[in-house]
Amino acid sequence: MQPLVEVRDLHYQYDDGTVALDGVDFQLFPGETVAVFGANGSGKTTFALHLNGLLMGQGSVTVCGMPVRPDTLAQVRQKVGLVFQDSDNQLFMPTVLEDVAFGPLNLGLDRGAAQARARETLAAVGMAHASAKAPYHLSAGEKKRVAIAGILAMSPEILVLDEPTTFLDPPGQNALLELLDQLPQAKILVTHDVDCARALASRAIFFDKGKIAGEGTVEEIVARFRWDRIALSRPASSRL
Amino acid sequence: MHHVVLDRWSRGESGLHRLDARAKTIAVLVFLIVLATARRSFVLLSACYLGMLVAVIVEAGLPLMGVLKRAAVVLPFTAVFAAISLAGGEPMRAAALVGKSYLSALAVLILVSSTPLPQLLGGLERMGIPRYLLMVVQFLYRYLFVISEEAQHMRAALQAKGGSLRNNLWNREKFGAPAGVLSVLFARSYAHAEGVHQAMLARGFRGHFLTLSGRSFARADALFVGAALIIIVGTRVVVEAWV
Repeated sequence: MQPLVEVRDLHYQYDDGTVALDGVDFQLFPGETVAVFGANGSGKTTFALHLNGLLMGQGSVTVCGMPVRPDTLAQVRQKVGLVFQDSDNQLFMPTVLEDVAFGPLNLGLDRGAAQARARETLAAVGMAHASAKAPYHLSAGEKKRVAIAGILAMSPEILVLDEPTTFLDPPGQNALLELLDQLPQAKILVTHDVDCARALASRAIFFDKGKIAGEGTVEEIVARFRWDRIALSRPASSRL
Repeated sequence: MHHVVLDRWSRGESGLHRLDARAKTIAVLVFLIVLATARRSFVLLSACYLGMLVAVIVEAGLPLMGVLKRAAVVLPFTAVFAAISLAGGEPMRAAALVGKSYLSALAVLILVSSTPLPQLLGGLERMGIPRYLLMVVQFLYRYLFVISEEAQHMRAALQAKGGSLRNNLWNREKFGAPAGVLSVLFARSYAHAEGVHQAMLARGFRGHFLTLSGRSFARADALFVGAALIIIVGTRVVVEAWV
């Protein structure tokens, strides 16, 4: 099977000299969801930004058979939808409908088609009622849904979600997980949330100092890198 | 917050709300020019224009006292210049300064309270205002709320650690704390700006801002502009001829 995303020997160094990626190899296949774990600063988000061409390091990144290069960015960004951690950064238009239509308009759809696509996508994420609202009137969970709608409106084949459950309360997290579970796209979840990964991911990778230090099922990675919350030595009943 | 209130008002259903943004903008521009160039019988003219604007506010279903109060936000600025004129022995000039600035603010406030921002910016763009200038306004409007929320969080954090913005502003030794808060706020705003730019690029932005709004200028809009022109200019001509 042809991978949707293929990353070969990817290196990236920030201007201040920090080595963020140090020889990353990775493949994503159709229909699968991969969780990306790792400590803060281990290179997870830098890796995600390369998949959409927002950063370009040394090595190769191929998306749906296309190399990520300046001349293929428009096509690559249509194929890879990137949902950012902070929804406020992603919702920059004055109304929800205009925000969701932003991507389709950039893809070249005319106003009528872009509006129809935006309405359809908002309905798909359960946010049709908010189309005329300003983004700052939405709750954190609603903002996340609208941010996802803005990406889905571009009909991507791959979704890259950076910390999707951050800022959401447990009901909001559950609703989001249900929504993500129903989406047919292949997904990359950059997350610290092991429960989110357990619910959605079929595979996990672990970043350490800019390299993929381990790969396996979510449970294997969690056990190998001790990536779950631990029980405190003092039992809860003893705390008063 | 002020701009949230204006946003709510701007989404009304009155006849004024339904007009094209360009028609309302032209009417306001004409009003501002006629008002700014008025010299004679200013008191009577101001009273007529105030009555006219009040009638527009009522027709648009906007809260009269709320709009009148908010328009007064310009008064502290003009009061400084009015005081200078007053001190120079020109009371009428001082009064005209205050009156003109208040009426101008009121007219602009009615425009933004009866036109949702996307429509207003779209209208201004079709009138030839540079696109990038409008983008700056749009982002300023959108992120004012986010930045203001961050400022409130930082203020709460400062207070939680025993600090106070108000007291420290006047204390030379402690001035560093509020100054530091402002610098961090600036850095965070910059980080937001970078985040927004990345999000725009990720969704295919290539330097050309495309929007859904594309309303055409209807006959009702042209009639409104014509009527506004006649009433605004006519009022001044009649008042100046009469007094």
